[in-house]
Amino acid sequence: MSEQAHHPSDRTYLKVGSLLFILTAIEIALYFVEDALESEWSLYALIASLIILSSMKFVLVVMYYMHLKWDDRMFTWFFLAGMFVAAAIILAMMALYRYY
Amino acid sequence: MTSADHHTGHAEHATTTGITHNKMMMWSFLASDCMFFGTLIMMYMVYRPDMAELGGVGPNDLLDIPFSSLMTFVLLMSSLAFVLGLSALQRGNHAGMRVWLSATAILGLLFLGGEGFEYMKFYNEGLSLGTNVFGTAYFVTTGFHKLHVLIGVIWLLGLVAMSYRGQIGVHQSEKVEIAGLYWHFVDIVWIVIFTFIFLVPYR
Amino acid sequence: MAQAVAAKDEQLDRWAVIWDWITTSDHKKIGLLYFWTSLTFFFVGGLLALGVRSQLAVPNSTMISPDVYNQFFTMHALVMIFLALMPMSVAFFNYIIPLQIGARDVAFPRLNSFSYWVYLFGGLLLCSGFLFGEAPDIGWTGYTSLSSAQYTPGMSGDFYVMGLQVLGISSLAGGLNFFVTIVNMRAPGMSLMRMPIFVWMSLITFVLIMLAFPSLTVALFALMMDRNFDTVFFSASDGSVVMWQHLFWIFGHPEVYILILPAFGIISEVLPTFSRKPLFGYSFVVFSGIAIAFLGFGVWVHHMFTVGMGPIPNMVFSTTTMLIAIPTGVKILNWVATLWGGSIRLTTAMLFATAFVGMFTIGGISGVMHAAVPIDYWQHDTYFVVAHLHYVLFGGTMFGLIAGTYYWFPKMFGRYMSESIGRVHFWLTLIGFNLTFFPMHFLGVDGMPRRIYTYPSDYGYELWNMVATIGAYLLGLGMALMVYNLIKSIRSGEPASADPWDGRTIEWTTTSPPAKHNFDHTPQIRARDDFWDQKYNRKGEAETTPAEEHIHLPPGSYIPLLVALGLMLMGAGVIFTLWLSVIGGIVVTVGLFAWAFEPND
Repeated sequence: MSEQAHHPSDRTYLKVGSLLFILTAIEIALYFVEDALESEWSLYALIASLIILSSMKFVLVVMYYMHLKWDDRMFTWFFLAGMFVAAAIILAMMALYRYY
Repeated sequence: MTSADHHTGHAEHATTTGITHNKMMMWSFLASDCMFFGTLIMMYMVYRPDMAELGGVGPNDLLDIPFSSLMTFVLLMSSLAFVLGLSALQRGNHAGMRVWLSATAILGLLFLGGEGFEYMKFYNEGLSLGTNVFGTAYFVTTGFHKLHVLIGVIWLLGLVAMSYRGQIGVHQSEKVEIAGLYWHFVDIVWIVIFTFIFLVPYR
Repeated sequence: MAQAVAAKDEQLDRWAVIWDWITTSDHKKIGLLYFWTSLTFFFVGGLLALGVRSQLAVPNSTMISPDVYNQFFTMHALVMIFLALMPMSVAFFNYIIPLQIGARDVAFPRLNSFSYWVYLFGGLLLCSGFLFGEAPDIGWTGYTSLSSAQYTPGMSGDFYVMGLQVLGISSLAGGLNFFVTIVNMRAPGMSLMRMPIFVWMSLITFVLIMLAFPSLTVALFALMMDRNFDTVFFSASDGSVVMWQHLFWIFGHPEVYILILPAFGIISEVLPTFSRKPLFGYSFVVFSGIAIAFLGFGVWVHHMFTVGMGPIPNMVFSTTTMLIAIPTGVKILNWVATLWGGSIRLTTAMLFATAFVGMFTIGGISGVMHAAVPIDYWQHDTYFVVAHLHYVLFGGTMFGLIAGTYYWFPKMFGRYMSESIGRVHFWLTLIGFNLTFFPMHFLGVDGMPRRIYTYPSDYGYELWNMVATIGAYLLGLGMALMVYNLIKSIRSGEPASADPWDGRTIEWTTTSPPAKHNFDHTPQIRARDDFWDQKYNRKGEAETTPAEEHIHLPPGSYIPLLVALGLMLMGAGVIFTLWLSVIGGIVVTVGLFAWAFEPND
């Protein structure tokens, strides 16, 4: 329960900030590359890499900027519970509408 | 509901978990808000396959990736500015905190302005709430996000004002931290929206 | 002269008392406000039900017009679910949870009073449709496209949307507040697995509220936009009509558990107390509760089997639905095993608790019947479903809440409720309830559709409809008797001690009714069922912290009332004219600033 024990340094914050910047730049670059190719495999490759990249951004912000890396583990569980139920319902509904 | 987070709390009573009520409330609220945005995004994703064929005023005609990318950078940088402000406060640098928090608020306003500009552009090109399912889902989903940003900006400006009046001491950095949790949450919602509403191609 | 002054003083006093109740942030007073308000709404809903039953008593009846009939059954459901059952659970959350966890108040006292006022104003907004003759008449589920502007023009649909939206804010605020309270304000030594089971079930309820209500908020917002601002979320040509059903039931199924879990908790307190035995399999009850909540998010499509999504989705959701029967069955076995071999005292509370187990089991079993898709196709939208849901909501939730009322009444008012009236009340209610709702099984199996205005005379529906109507009046009589008992017992009931039932949990350690600060000493918890343990296992050892000299209690505030009023105006604005929304918005904004800067410590 030492949530106040560790304050990340400005350096860490800046590093994370630059990473977010770079990841977003890659996402956008990939979008335009795919836009030029416009084939079926490239679409799936793009979607897969976008999901991976944006999850990385998501996790970076939550872990470092929202301090979940150092904060009480309970908050991680709260957040995961909300995320999990939301994600499960999104996926289930997409499947229901896509296939049925 | 954000009003609850302004609640000054009961500092003198130790809590069971050692975490203040306010912070616990914020995280609980965020868990709940996940479902709120989750439901909105779910509707968008369900309607998404129908959007590719909307002639004239569909996403393929209207969405402006370079401009939205710029807005995304603005919002990401606002999150960076915020944590630098928090860090300044924790080191006792009140002036620095005010500068960074004001910068965050300005970036937030810039985001709102840019998105407002984009709304106007879409509207002028013929997309309104009732034009088609893209208009409906796009305006409502991003509109709720903007409402969250707006509340965040007001909150940030309030914090800056309180800091000027000397109401946020170094040991009260949690007041800022809680606002930050909210602000970063709004940021990660945008990360999801940007990817799934803007970047994933409509085909 | 002196008399006039005294009279004036008295008048001033009365205003002071009223002002005190309006601004109170004391969880016990808010609990009582919730209790009386929800009881009032319960009778409103009950009268509506009697209206429905009277219309259906004989075939081809035209006692009330079809329009009014639609308003009656819709408002009966809305009032009972959102204005009577849920808030009556909240009354017990408010009054009992802080006492059971050894806290002096909830985590956010002003937010708590805000929840109450939003509930009251939201309820009035929802019901005010009757004043205009345009109460919601689209069924409590408000399915599109019936509820869209095309088929329900006018105000009735807007009363539905805005009333529920405002009420949802109240539930969310309350859910978050109590979640934080339970996690953060337990007395020293009260680990999670030492919490009273009522607190556990409530905690699970709050998680469900936090995760389920946002879906309703979004659904209602989308419907509001569709009705008033031309969006096409639920339009048949652009959007998806069925989307509303999904959104509604993603909220609606967890809502069913929001309604029943508090009653589970109450029963799990009443049965052990009057069996003088600990609850059988405490951890099983806890974890089955968690399992029910978790599974509750994965079953919503079972309300929509007949939509036509095909065999695979129906099969998947049929399976998850049947899975829920397992943790629920575990609970029923635990309750029965708690009774087994106990020294049972059949007080009125105990009678209702045992009846709960029986009635809820019947409702649960007919629920599992619906889970099988082919049977559901047959029973869908018939009176069988009406029978099922009343067995779980009245025979379950309401019986549990009545048991809780008899059980905690001595704590709340310092007097016993009359046991002799209580017994009559119990038998009238039990008989009336079964007379009303059991025949509905037969009607449903014979194919009588639910929500139908009337029926022809040669379908064989006459007998059971007449029986059900007679039962409904008996049930109404029983509930009226309860109110008589409440009022009589508050005035002249037998005085009760701090621990009238030889209780197990720590709310019985403090005086009846508790002092404003609840406990003189912060309780120290050493065991599950700590008070019982203290009385019988570690006899007489005083284990409290030294008396606290300065007990700080938050002051009252009128601002929550103001903000709640603003919210109601915002909602009313969508129904009448948007200017009201603007005024409401200003009131809310100003109120929130005042709230943030109000000194309150």
